[in-house]
Amino acid sequence: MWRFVIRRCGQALVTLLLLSAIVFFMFRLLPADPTAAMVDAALSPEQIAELKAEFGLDKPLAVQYGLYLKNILLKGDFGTSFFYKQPALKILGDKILNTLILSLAAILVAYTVGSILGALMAWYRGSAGEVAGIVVGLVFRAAPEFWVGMVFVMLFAYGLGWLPHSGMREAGYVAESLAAKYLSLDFLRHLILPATVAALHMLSTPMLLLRNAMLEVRREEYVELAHAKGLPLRRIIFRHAARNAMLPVVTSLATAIGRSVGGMVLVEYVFSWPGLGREIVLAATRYDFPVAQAAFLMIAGLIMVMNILADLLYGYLDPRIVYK
Amino acid sequence: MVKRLFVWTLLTAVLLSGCAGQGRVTQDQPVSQPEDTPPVAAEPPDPARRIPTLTFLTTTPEYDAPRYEAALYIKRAMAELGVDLDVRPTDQKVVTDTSRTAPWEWDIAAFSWGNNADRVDPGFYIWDQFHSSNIKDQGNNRVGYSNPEYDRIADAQKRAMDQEERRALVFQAQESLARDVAMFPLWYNDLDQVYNKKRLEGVVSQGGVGLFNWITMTGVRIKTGENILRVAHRQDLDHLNPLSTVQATDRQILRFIYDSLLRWDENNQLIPGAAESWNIIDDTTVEFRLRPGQKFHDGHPLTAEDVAFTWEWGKQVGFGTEDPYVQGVERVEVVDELTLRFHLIQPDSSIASSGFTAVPILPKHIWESQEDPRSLTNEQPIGSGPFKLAYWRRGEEIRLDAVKDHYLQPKVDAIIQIVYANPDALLGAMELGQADMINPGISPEQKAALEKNPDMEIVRTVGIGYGYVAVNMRRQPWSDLAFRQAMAYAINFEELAEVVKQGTARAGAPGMVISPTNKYYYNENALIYNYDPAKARQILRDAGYEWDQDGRLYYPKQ
Amino acid sequence: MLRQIWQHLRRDPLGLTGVGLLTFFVLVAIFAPVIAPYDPEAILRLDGEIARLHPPSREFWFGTTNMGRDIFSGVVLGSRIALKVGILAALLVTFVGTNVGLIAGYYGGIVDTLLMRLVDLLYGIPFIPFVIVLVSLLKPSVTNIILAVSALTWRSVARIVRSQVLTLSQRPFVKAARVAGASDLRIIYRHILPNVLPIAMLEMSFVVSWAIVSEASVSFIGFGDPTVPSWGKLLNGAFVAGAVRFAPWWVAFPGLAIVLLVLAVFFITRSLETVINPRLKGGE
Repeated sequence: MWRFVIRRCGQALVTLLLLSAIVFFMFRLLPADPTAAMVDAALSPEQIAELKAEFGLDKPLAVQYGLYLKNILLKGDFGTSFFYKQPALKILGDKILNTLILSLAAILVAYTVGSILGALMAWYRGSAGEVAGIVVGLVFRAAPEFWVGMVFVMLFAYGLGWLPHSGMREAGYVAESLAAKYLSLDFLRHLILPATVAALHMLSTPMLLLRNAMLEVRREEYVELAHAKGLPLRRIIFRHAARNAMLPVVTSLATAIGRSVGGMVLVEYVFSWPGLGREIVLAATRYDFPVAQAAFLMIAGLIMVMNILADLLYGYLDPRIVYK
Repeated sequence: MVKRLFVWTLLTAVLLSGCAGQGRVTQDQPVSQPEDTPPVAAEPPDPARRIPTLTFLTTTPEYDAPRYEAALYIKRAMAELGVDLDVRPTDQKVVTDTSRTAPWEWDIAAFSWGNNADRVDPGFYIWDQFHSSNIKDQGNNRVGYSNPEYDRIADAQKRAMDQEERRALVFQAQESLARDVAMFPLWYNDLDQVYNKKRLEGVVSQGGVGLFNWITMTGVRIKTGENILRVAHRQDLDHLNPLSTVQATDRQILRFIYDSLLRWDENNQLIPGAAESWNIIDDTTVEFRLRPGQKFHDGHPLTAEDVAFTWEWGKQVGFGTEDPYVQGVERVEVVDELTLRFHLIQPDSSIASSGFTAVPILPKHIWESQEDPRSLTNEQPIGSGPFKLAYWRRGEEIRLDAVKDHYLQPKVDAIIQIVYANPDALLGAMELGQADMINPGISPEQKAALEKNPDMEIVRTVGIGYGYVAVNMRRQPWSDLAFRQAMAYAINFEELAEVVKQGTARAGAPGMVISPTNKYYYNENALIYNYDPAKARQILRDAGYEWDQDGRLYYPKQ
Repeated sequence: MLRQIWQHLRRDPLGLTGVGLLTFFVLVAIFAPVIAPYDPEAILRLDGEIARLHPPSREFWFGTTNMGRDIFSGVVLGSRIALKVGILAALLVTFVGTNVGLIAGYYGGIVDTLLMRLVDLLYGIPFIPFVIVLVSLLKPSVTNIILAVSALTWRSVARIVRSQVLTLSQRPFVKAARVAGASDLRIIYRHILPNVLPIAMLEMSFVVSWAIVSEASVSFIGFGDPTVPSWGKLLNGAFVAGAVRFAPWWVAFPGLAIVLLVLAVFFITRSLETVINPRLKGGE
């Protein structure tokens, strides 16, 4: 199993490396001034000279890329934000956790609720509830996340006043430890709406997949056999069949993670959730290239980590997989 | 098929009804009249002379919707003239930085002067913005306006100590700026602001400035609940370095952390600040006596040495917007621990109101050893003002704790300014009681919502600042006077202000850099332009500009 | 085959609804300038006063924005952008993806490995952040958005076409063609492509809805083309003006337009799926 993990991590690193190259060249080949990516024209000549030396901006692009990578891998230096005048990593550091928590919460809700609904729909085949479930699921998949976000804010935050309309915490909070910051009721209240909006968007996939899989499973021979032996149908399905039916659901998790974290940009924007997604929008608006580059790489990195975890989950569910 | 029939019926119904119900509705953007169409050149002009697409920097709509909409409006007006502008919304700080910093990589941009007491004196606009000596990296003369005749007038008004004489000179300066179309003011900011009157009392509006002034911040009392004033703002601070302050957001907060020699009262009269008295010895000499017992936030006593240091060292290092004033001081003579004398290079009519009130007092023991003082973010600012920094959580909030033994005696325990990302959230914060005031002001939609709320008090202040569009005169086509004049006639500034500011502001006019609020100094004879697109085209034609058959504008033959 | 698709759609109520809705939107888009009563950018006055934030009324069916712009006209004209982006992106994506899938699946070996590694790489790129960054580096225009969306989306078409091609390459008719001396290109484009087309078309309809939502999303965040009326831009206007609370019509109508159009495509796609993936038929 460990060989599998190492191999997957290796793959992820290679992909990240290639991605960093793509991003690097994108930022340098597209704007008019190639040095604009790292050097803020507003700096003093001495500072510009210093930065140029550090990133080798007078050397060929390939060498620059090497220096860029070296700075990231050895020093954790993603460049200095043009806007904040601070290291990009410092700006983005705690945002990673915020996005991770929101994504995990959304995926958790989507997949657990979605799976349960899918199973129920398979069970109550042909009922009005099943049709309603399909339609509702599809509607939320069709509706853009940001729009659902706006509507929910309208209804639940302003209309009913049950939940906060934006942000991650109330202003003026006092929090000593990381745990106190994230495990507070205030934080959870702020988490509910954005996580729900994101979850609703993803819900239909696991729901329909599980439903289809369960319906197919019902027809399988071993189910009939067990039923003939006298075991209650419900127990058969939920104990034996569900586990296998989960496999396609977990497979879909990989794509879902990618779309969720990437799409989290929209939810973060609507709810002013201080995460990587919102930061990349702000950075792009401000032409703050170092931060935009860094945020992009971090988002990609986050997706990869979560994909590896999803693969592990898949492996746990289906031990038949041979880890080469 | 039923479906097909249904679709056709629906379509016909829609088509028919699309034509009805339009009688009362009129459209604003005028359609070009036939005689207005730009004349096509006899033969197609040389493509090399075509005026390329120019970049228009403005703010994002969520930060300041009027500035964004104004850019779009001007884009449309200029398109009629045959000039294509690419509107680029970005962070307001980017607009400011790009326009002030060499190599001035900008064409045209939208800005706004906030309501600030040091702008009541016209010197800020007349001399600081347009005198050619301020054309430098990080200089205030961002448009690059250089006119020796104008410099002469601007210098003269700065030296004129007689008010009548100065007024005449300021009038001349405005006429010159209007003739040269140095800038395009769009609207004069009347400010609508709101505060929670159930929680606050002692909120005072300062003429031209609004609610966010020293008097309010130190005098406000909280009636119920926690003794902390909470302010909601649209944007976070950039940095806390008083040497390089450009953003109004930063300056406001820094004014509470740092003290200055003089202050304003709510009627814009000069009153003692850190200096308890002053004495004008002659045209170029002023003596100040400091209040005894003042301390910096780290406990160090404040003496005349610190003030002298600030101005003399600051002159070498360079200040931000306040730079013209430190540059005007020849030396500062320390008479004794609490007394000092300023020796000015020339008489300066604006230094009292824009210099002595604006330049902060820096602690010598902290700044004298700094190697690159202007690029510090200064995240632990030590000043002598009525508030000191408790913490600054970037992008979220900043908290200032009151210095209880300060001579201004602030009544609140602390001020927290919280960043909200969009107008909805700002409003929500007020209604839910999470904020007591909104900085700097509210939009008409927010006003309409808050008016119905009995806890809210809405205050309207006639502002001294204005929103404006400026062009980079170092570049073509902006360097050509004829082009600028054509622009002045091609845009309907009255309509722009009405549409974009929804009736809450008076329209600006090209070159009118002093707000009409400033009744004494505002020269209405400098209003020489009106909306006349045909005249605009005539001016261009006379200057040799040409159009092709698509209506695009071309530079004149050299 | 088209006949078969149409026969199937006719019988499936959801599919039929989808076709009906889509036709409606297409007609609206085609006749948009005639249907829209006003210029969506024009600031309108009612009895002389600028018509700000009017709720839906006889003059303004969907109400107006805070700047006095008609939302109905905006939604009607926005359908053009939505369909333009959806269709163009889908065509571009299908073209590129199908070709890559064909070549990779047919030639196999190192060509396949390289191309599939490229696809894997593209899968690692987060979609919206990429589009945002690309559009911010270039100019925000509809063309750039179509390009940015297409640049990544072809990855799914390529994968699906490739796996289909792999299966087909082993079939007898391909082997027969090779024996008969047909060139590779001929085999790919005359023999394999027609069999791959259905599944490529299916994927294309997914892409249409994906492209529409992506354009709306990018415009919503403010990276859209400020000169064209799109649904995303309308919603952006509502959000930044803080109108979510005062003007629900401004939020509701453009959003519903997106939902309905995307649903229409979804229904059609689901219907097509049962024709093209017969295996799924059993699950219904």
